Amino acid sequence: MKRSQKRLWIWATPIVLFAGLQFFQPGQTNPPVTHPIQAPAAVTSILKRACYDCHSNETRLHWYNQVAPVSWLVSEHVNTGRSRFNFSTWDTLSPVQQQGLLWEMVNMVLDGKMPLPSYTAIHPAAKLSQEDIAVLKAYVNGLSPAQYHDTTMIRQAAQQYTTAGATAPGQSKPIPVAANGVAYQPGFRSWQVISTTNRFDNNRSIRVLYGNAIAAAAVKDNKINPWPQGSVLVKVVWDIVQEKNGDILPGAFNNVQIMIKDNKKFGASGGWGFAKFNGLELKPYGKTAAFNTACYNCHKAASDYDYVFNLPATQ
Amino acid sequence: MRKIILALLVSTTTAGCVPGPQPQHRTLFDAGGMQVISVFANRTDKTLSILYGDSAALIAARSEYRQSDKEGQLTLVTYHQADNRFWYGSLVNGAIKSVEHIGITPEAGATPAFAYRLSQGQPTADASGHMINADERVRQILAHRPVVFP
Repeated sequence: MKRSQKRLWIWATPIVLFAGLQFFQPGQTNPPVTHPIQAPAAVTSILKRACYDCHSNETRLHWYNQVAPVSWLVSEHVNTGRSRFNFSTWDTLSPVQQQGLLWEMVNMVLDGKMPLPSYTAIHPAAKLSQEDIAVLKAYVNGLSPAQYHDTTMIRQAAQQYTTAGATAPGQSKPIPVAANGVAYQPGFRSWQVISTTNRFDNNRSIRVLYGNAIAAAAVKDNKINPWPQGSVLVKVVWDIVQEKNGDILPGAFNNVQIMIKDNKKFGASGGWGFAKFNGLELKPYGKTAAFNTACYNCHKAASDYDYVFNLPATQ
Repeated sequence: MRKIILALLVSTTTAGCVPGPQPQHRTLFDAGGMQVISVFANRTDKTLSILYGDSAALIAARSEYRQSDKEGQLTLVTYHQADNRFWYGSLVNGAIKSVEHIGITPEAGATPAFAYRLSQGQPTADASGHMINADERVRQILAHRPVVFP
């Protein structure tokens, strides 16, 4: 082969390959907008600017987004974004689901995880200012206002206290197990208390987080990134009764949440197996093990400390 | 070349002066085998509190402290409240603000006797700033009904 022919092949091959790639497009489309989010204009304008390209059916594709292999990457982002939540079908979700997602969204924004830095690098207009964040915070706070001296909560707590017998020793009953294999931990009341938290978001509640001996030692030694194998965290959640003088009093028991560190079994979710047991009957949350991924996705906001939210503040 | 070596030397020396990450300390209260009886907070005072009790106090709590067959011990740990850096919408405990104790002594045919002791922090004041006496403080603490556990 002559040198000039060889040089031609060297130049032509990538061009031919690149041209060939263009025949394999993901075919990204924008399905109809059927149930768009209903929110104040100040909020929707922020969402449209920063979120809609991946989390709606109104994705704006620039020419460079439609050139393979970039188009494959963009398509994957859009499909993932729409599968998490879609502002074009938003009103098909229940109000509880909507509020949960909106608080999660604000937290992902505050944590700098959303909009994706790789996205804002190409679309600087999507970056959120402090004013934008203040608008989003005010919006979510307005969705979950405090109900002072909530008589329904007071009545439920009194009823549960009377029927369940507060602090009664646990009766022997089968230990419930979540669909991912994480079992309820009946002995947690003797464990070390790690923290207590009060939530004023869509999940108004007061909580106590317990850790087994491995987890407690890890917190004391500040070796929690990552948490050691065998760490078990149990969070007990009670409803609250809020009073105008600032008192937050515990209401009825709501649920127990568990995190178990087992890298071998739960490698796909940061090494954590999650579980939630609802009500005094401790009904496991999640019909299939897939719920573990949803827990993990939300806990990504706390990835700096290996996905654990409720660490006491440092001194 | 000389400039490069100089720049490297300067950057190495400067980096040596930058303080490393501060050691992080988190308060874990050693309840000495006692268990949680109740948990509560106050948004105005910016506090979060956990009431612990030993086995006798756990039993006494079920009668709202009207009966007790054995000597018991309650401990109330009050923490300063802090923003949860990982979740806007959540407040978490920080440093301990105070630790208070109530000794429970059975009294034949009568309500148990209660002995109050403050082992850490300042005495509690009311909304107008006046110190609350021990009897009143005991009454306030015992008014916290036990939480229901599964």
